Amino acid sequence: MTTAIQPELVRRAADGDPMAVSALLTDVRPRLVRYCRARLGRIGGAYTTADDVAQEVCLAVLKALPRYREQGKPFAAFVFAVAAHKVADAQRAAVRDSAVTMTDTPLERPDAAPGPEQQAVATDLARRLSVLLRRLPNVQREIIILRVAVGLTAEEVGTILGMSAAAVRVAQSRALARLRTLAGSGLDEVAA
Amino acid sequence: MSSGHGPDGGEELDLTPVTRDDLLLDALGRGEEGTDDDTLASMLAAWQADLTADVDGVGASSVLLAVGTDTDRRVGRVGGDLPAAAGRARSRRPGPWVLRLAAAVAAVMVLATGLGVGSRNAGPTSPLWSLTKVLHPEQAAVRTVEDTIGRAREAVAAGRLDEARQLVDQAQRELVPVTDPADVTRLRAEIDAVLRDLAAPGCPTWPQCATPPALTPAASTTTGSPRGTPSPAPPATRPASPPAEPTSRTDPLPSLPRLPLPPAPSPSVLSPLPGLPLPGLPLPTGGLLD
Repeated sequence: MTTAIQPELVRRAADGDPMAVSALLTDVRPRLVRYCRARLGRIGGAYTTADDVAQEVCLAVLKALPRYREQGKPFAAFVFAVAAHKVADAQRAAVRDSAVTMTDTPLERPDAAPGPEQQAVATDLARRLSVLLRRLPNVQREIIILRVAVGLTAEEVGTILGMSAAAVRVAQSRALARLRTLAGSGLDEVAA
Repeated sequence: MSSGHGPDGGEELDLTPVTRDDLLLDALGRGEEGTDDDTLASMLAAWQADLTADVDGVGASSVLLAVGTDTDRRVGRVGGDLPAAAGRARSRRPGPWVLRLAAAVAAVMVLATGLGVGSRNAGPTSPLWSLTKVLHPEQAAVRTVEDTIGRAREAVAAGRLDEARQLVDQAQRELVPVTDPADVTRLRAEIDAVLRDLAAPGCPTWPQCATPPALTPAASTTTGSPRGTPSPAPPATRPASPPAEPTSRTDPLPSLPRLPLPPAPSPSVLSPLPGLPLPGLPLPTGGLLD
């Protein structure tokens, strides 16, 4: 999962090799789906909107393949720059369409007891974390999403965000510390 | 910054907190479960699992399809490998030919509706008549009888009594397929009116001396008084009048026949009224013509 996307595969896909395009999509698409889900969260209780955005990102990436070759940037950086733009577009559209969609207050329910089922507990944990993530600074949140949700290495995240790998590691530690603080203050009843 | 998670790094004392966090995030990114005693790690693991759920089921093929259709021109025939999928992708977004077809269908529907409505009132002389016969057979039958009666009336007005009689016979025959009782009654009354004109005693040429009777029968049909005399009369007048008189008489009197003709439609309007109280009317005509 963390293996870098092979430049050779990207080159063949850019040249129009159908097999390479298919392989590239197979590699990139799950990451993009997780990235969009992490960024957009559940809308109306489902990831449908996020998945639609992920599809758009896939299309945009493939349309832009020749341009990418000329730029010479790492492919992952290129892909997730496109994804970040698409997600931002979707967020702006969502804010435009309904002001309540992107606010986190409806999701913030400290008194919601986890259900008896393990699935319910996991979903509740996931929901709580997505709420906590929104309180992080933008760069820290992006790092956590790219590292955990997408599964990229610190080096890959550094190329995407234009940072050194060391700077990414420091920033991600700060992000985890902040999340722990937030979780400790908001999840006393769960942690105890 | 790392003071908050001291308890969970017991066996990795040689690692800096930054390295520990980096390893944790690497493990989480691979989808591994967090340690039980680290609340944040389990939260991140649950979150990652939640994001991963059904990822493979999310339109994996539809992306390839959309890519195949959208990048065919540039990337090559990706869709060629996925014909069924490409077909589905194409069907999701209706092409311009679908819209064109829909527009054509709509135009045909509008035209057909217009023709159908228009042909409802078309007569045998109308270009829509053949449509009327197909779409409104009942209306067509009524119109046919009306047309025949009109021609019979013209024949009477012109003095062509034999032709008029044939036309009346034809109208009687054409009346058979008409099923609407109101139409039958009305048309019967019109036919009877023509027959009465034909049978006007001593008046072989209808326009000449029938103008006064033409008004009285229409008004006095309810009385039935003129009907007693006409029935025997036709046999007498019929053979005598047509050969000589009408042809010569109609020429000097072109204006008179035109005058009674405009009122001719009026019986068709008025006839339903006398037709209702006169169910016996068809009987004399039937006996007379058979």
